[in-house]
Amino acid sequence: MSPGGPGLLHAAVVAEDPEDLVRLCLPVLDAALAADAPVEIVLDRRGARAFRDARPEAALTLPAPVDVDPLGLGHRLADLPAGAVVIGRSCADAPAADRPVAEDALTLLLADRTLAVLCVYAPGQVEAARAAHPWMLTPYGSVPSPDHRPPATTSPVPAAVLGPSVDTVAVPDGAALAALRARFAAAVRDAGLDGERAEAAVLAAHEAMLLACGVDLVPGTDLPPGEHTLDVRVSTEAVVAECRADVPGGPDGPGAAVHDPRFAHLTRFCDHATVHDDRHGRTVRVLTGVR
Amino acid sequence: MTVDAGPARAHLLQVAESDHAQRVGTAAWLDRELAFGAKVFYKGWLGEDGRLEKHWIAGPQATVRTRRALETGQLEFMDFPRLIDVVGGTAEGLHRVQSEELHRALDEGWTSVAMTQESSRRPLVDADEVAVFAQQEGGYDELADRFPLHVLCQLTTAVENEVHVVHSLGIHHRDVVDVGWGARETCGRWRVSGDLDAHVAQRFGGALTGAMRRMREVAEQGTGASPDLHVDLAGVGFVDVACAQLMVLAARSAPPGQRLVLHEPPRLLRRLLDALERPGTIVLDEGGPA
Repeated sequence: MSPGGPGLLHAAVVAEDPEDLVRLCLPVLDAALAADAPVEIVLDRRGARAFRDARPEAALTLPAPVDVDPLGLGHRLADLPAGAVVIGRSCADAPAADRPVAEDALTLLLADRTLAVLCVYAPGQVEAARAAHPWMLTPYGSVPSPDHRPPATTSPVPAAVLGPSVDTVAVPDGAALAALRARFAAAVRDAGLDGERAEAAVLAAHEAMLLACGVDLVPGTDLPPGEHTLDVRVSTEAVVAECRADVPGGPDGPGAAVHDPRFAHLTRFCDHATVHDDRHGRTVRVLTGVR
Repeated sequence: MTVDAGPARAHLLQVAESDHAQRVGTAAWLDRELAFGAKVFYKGWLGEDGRLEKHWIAGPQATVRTRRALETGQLEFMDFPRLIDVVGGTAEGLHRVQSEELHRALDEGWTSVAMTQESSRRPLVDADEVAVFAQQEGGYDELADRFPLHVLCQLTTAVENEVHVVHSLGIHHRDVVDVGWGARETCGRWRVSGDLDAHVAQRFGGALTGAMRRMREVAEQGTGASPDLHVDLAGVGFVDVACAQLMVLAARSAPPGQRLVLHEPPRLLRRLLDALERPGTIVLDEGGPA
């Protein structure tokens, strides 16, 4: 059901009202109905009625939202058959602190399922919707969310608990690695780290970008040109270098990065390292505690 | 990039990744040599129409002093195709031309002479070509040892193949200014400065291999010198896994009896080398400068 192939479509739908929501969702809903796949609408009475009115003959399942715990949603949806579509706003209605955790849990737990999970958000929540969803459902179909930071499969820490972004550095080629180090070193200093621990954090960030880009450990292999970025996240607990490389499908396929010798090397120079491969590229995070 | 700081360098390789960056560095070097009263010989590529006025040294990218020097004859330009004709395509021929130019300038009363040449765009397809290239560069060294001669070799990586780049760094390892790092041989040590990372690893590896090879050659000449390469890393701010691994590979591939001695390494280098299973032939000297 996800755009471009099987797998999870976890998308946010930002709608003004139930009628607007139905218009946005109908292409996905109709595709599921045509394939005899189940469709669940987990909305309040007004929202459920809008879908029922739009497709009166369809066998829609309409559980009441009160019955759904957002933090346990992933386990519940995992039991649905392949091709199912779920439209609801359980996460959007959850407390702000729980919301990103619940959404990231869905992205992680259902990653291998052929499901469409369409999360309904109000226009005033659009920033939260973008940050928590890999896809956005638009009048033109599903498009990747530019603000989404995927949780890492190797260590499912939701991005929202890694601290806010304080700097973003474009790394278009190997010559820009020096700028990556300089900018991250400045953030590390501002976060209160110094000495060997600060230098180690910078080395880990540098190696993380090389790993994200799939740069071979064979000396002489340079960073491939592309739209690679370093996102620096700082909290009271830690400073995080989040390196994102746009190498579709991951340089060597999902899961390969943690077996890369470079991953073993960079883990020696930080407190925690994670890798996440998806269809758009690879994200490597390295975390160094500041206490 | 600029090379006009510090004392003049006898035979310097300037590495740049684009024509523009190369011109910026070369313009500074030219201006400095001309300002100090040197007669300068420039070997380069003219366009298809062969007109010097179209070359950058005759245009606004060069300094006023450089353009004036072209008019007065303090700066002489020779197109590469013509140079190849004159030297007959041999290292001996090139050495003869270099020597003639040097002596002509000194006879004319110039107190110092400078020579520079643009990236030659030679593919260096086999070991014989590499040997000829090394012989040509050795000719510059020989003249610079005996006469007041400064040489700037320009290497633009965008126009050369990988083999040329690596061998060029190996041959010129004694004095290199690259992007973000450099190296210079002084007082028996190979002094490296700047950041050594994956972006420059191939070039650093070429230079390191050249430096190791030269120490072996000197030792084999029966001078009694040790073949150990002493690398001063006091000026290095950063080394990544790729460049640390190059050090390990260089030490492992060295013949028995040759060691790589690293003086004042950056703080993390020991940890990096240990992670890469540092061989016993890499010696770390974390004490003060010699």
